[in-house]
Amino acid sequence: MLLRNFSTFVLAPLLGLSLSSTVSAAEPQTWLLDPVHTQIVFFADHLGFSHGIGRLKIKQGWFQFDADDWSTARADIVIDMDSLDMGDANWTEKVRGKAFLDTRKSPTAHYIGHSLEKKTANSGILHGELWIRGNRRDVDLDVTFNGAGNDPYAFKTKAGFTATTTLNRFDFGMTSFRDVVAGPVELRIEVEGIRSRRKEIQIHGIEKQ
Amino acid sequence: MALKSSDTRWGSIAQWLHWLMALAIIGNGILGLIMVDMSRGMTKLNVFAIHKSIGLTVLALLILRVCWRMLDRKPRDEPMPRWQRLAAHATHAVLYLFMLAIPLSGWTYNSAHGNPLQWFKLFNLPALMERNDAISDLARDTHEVLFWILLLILVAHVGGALVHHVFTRDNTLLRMLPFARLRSRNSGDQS
Amino acid sequence: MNRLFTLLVLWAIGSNALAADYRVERSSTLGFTGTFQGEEFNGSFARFEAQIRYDSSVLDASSFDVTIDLSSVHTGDSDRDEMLPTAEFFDTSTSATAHFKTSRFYKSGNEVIASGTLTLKGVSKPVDLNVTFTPVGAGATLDISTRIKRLDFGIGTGEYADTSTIGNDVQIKAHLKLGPKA
Repeated sequence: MLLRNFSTFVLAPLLGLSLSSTVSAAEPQTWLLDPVHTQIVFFADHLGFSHGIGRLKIKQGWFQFDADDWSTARADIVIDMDSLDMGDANWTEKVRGKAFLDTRKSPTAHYIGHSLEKKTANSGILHGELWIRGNRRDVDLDVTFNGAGNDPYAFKTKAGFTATTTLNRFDFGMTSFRDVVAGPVELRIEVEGIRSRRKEIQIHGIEKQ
Repeated sequence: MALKSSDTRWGSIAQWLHWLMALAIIGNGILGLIMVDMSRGMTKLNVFAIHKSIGLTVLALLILRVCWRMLDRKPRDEPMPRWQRLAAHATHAVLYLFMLAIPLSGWTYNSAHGNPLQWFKLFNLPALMERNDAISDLARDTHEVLFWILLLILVAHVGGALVHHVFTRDNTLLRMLPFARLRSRNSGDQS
Repeated sequence: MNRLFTLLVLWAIGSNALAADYRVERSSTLGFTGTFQGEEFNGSFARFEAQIRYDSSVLDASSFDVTIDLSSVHTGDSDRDEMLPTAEFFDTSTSATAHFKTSRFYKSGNEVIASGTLTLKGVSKPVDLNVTFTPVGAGATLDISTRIKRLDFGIGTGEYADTSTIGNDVQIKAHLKLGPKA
């Protein structure tokens, strides 16, 4: 019993820590987004009473990142707008509707990150553009590099980020129900990328709209 | 060598059509088996295009062959037991059917899948029908299954010809071969 | 001095106010027609942004600025759609968008031509568009067409450069439904 607890709670994590190594790349690596561990949540004001929380999955994506040289970083993420989940079926249907995300017409959104500006040792700003619901806007994300190393459960090298920003939905053509849902929408994106040799977005292609 | 068939042998038109189509069919079958496993790229696209062009050629030759067969006569059947004669004729009839059905099923698959159809990059052929996923899948499977059944029928056809040539020692095979001399009926050796 | 200033302001307002800034409706389409093995196929881009300023009587004040998200292409054939973002074709992982911007407008007989630069896959080339502008109520419909050669932009390289299989000429067409900007 004691031995099992020891292995589970002490040995395994220690082994995990020792196995993980910082990825020191001499050149930008390509990382494919892990569709399970890459998650998007947003917070939108609801009548001033609370912030409705929505969850979105990604369809596919990749980023290029070199921990030693952030200037070569780039990203390309296709968001599955159809995967929207507000936590309630009726609420989800409303937000999918024409007045809001209009997911029938735009089942996916696309974020293209052009450059990463390093600000501190582990954070920076990703400058890019967001294509959503037939609108394109320059959107910057505040990005924190959480680290890179081995995932002992998946036997893969991973890099993880947390990205946040606040968008104004009025900028993206969602201009109705102004007194129900305010303009500013907070976004939080948790990203895990799996180191890959190729940009699979090229191999498997892009989603059908 | 006469163009038209005689009492004792097939004419040269019948012979050439027979062997030309046999080669085209076997060759196209091999192409078909190889091409589906190729990795995506220009070569695969070109091999598919050649396969389709050969298939269309076989279809066109089949129509010519059926027309010729109606104009021409057939040689008299070599002496053989009734069951052999019936089996041979049945095999030939089925082969004609398959030479029609296999290219047509391929054409149907191509049309239902929305792919273009070009004959050796010279001209395009019309689609037999509109895009339809269900028919496309069915036609594709039919095209492949018919080919495998064709192989079985060919075993009977080729096997039968060889049995007649090696064991019965009659002229069944020889009379379809251009430039071959027929065996004399009495001795069974080549005259 | 005041009069001159007023005149200048009036002139400035006058020349710009006539050239309307339009809003491009969601139902607008932008696509292309290519040929593959002798047959035409159509493709369209689901995501594009067009800034349209147009006045048929003051062509000089008109301008088109269009950005296209190349990864939003679909041609109705999944094999082809999967090939298009790859390095031999659009290479979206290197250049995700294409951009067209007009430099001048002119009339050629009865036709209006929008002359500009198309930047596609990192290559910039002058391209002229045929423009047909039809006012509809407070808005309009804008039909644009042009023809480019795919090899000019390096679309379909290596083994795909063979123009007997994939035609070099590609027709680009857009049908934009314009509404007045709010």
